[in-house]
Amino acid sequence: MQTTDSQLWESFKKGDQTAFSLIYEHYIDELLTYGYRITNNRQLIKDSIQDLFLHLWNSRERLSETDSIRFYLFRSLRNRILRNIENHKETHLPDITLYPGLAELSFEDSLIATEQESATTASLKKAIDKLSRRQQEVIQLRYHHNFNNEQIAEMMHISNQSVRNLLSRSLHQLREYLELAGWLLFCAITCYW
Amino acid sequence: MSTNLHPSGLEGQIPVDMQKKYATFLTDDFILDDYFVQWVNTPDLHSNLFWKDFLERYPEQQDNVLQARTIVQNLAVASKNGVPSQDKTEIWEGIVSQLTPAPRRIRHNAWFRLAAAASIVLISALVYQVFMSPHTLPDSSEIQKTSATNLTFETLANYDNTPKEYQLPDLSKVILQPGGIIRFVRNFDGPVRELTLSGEAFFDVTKNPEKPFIVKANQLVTKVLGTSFSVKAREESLNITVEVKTGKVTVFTANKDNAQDPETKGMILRPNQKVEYIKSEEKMTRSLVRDPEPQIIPETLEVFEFHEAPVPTILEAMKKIYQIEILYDKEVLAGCLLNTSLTNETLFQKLDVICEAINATYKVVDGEIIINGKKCS
Repeated sequence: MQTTDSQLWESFKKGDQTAFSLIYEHYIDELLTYGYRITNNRQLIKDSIQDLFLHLWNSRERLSETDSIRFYLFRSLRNRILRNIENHKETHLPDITLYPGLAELSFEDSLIATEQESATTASLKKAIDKLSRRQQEVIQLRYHHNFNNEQIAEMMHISNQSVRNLLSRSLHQLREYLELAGWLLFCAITCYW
Repeated sequence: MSTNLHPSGLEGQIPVDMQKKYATFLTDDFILDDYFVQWVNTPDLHSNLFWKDFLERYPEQQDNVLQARTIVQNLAVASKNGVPSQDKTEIWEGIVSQLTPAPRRIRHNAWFRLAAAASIVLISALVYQVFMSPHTLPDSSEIQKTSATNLTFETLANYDNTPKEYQLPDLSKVILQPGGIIRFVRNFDGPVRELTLSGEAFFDVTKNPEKPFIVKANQLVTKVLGTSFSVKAREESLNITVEVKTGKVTVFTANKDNAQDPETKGMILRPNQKVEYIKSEEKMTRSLVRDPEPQIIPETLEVFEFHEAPVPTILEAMKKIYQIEILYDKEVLAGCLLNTSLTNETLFQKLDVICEAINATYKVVDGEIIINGKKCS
């Protein structure tokens, strides 16, 4: 993966459009997943990702060597989304809940996803949804996207220790929510496969 | 993505100091530990050895480690959220519409826009090649070599949440389901291509009549010459299933004490047939897979659309397509005429339709279909 990654990056920097579309194809699912963890505003996510890739293409010759396109993309997407959220606030754009169409869409999507999951995952999912946005984000970055503490710290502009604390607090809260919901332990059912 | 989390000096050596640190860890300490999470999410040879050795040294930590591992795995799945499926395409279209190509490529402008739009379709195939290729050759990190007698064994294990595809030394393909482990003699040295399986896997075997391909799963042995089939043999489940997609295999129980060739007591499985082996009863039952797959494309038959055709003609065509034996009384059904096409619907859906139309019934017996009907007036 490492060599593929840097070879692809090299070709892309030289203006290879196939490499560009491959980069897009390879990372878009993860980036969308991450985007929807940070905000519910679909248009904002789509615009941010589109801008990110356009920026990537237009400035490809000035981009530095990178040993991880993935880390770069995640960090840039996060910065972009947060910046755009700020801008949107100023112009008082309506909140996402005012678009009934989207609410239905996302809901349907998550319904399908839930059907295929175990009961444990489903209730864990519900519990995660009760966490703060930042906690949801850090949990996803750590366990789903598999970034380590140091990378997450750099991405979120906080210290390693803060990442750890954030994760630790999230775990405690998840336990509480699940106990409330009647799940004695975090993994009551599947702990032993 | 690999930062220097690997303990140093791993060539066969386990860093004992580092293990000491983990000896007093509680479940949450593991969940918050980078090296631990990295092992759960992307295990490799080094980390597998490390944690296996750790648990041997500190067996009292087994519960904490297993619990932490399950929680990390659950978190990995549960923290993923749904995404509207059309976003991916819509964003790409947006990007392509605004692309300014490299200056020296200006004359290709229009061409590129077209190509970019077309690439959405082609990409998945390409991506598969470029990005998945590390998986098709067994990732060196996942191959564990153990020396027993003078043969070297290789082990492939899928610790991920998704099925993984590997290429075997004879270019056969195997898709290993999560939790699946296979083990075989390195390079398939020896007179047969033999491997043992725990868990669930699909095999697409290259033809080599001189060197049969044998899969052993618990007590059950599946022998093939060149075919594709899947085996489900989870340690904890009470039965083992073998399903044949194409080709022919023989399935038999492993020889216990009698010297007689165990294969002679086995069963031959044809395409779309499956055998279920109930461990406790040591009994094999042959039936059909849930959704039989066409073995040839209906359109390649001379006739695949039928108008006022005798049912036997239709059934014969179906036999050819699915390579499944269908037993019925030709004389009785010859007078039944039907309109149908064999291109849509599954085998069983078609059978339902036909049987309802002619007031007949069917059942699957020993991997074959038997139709019972009356004369049509």
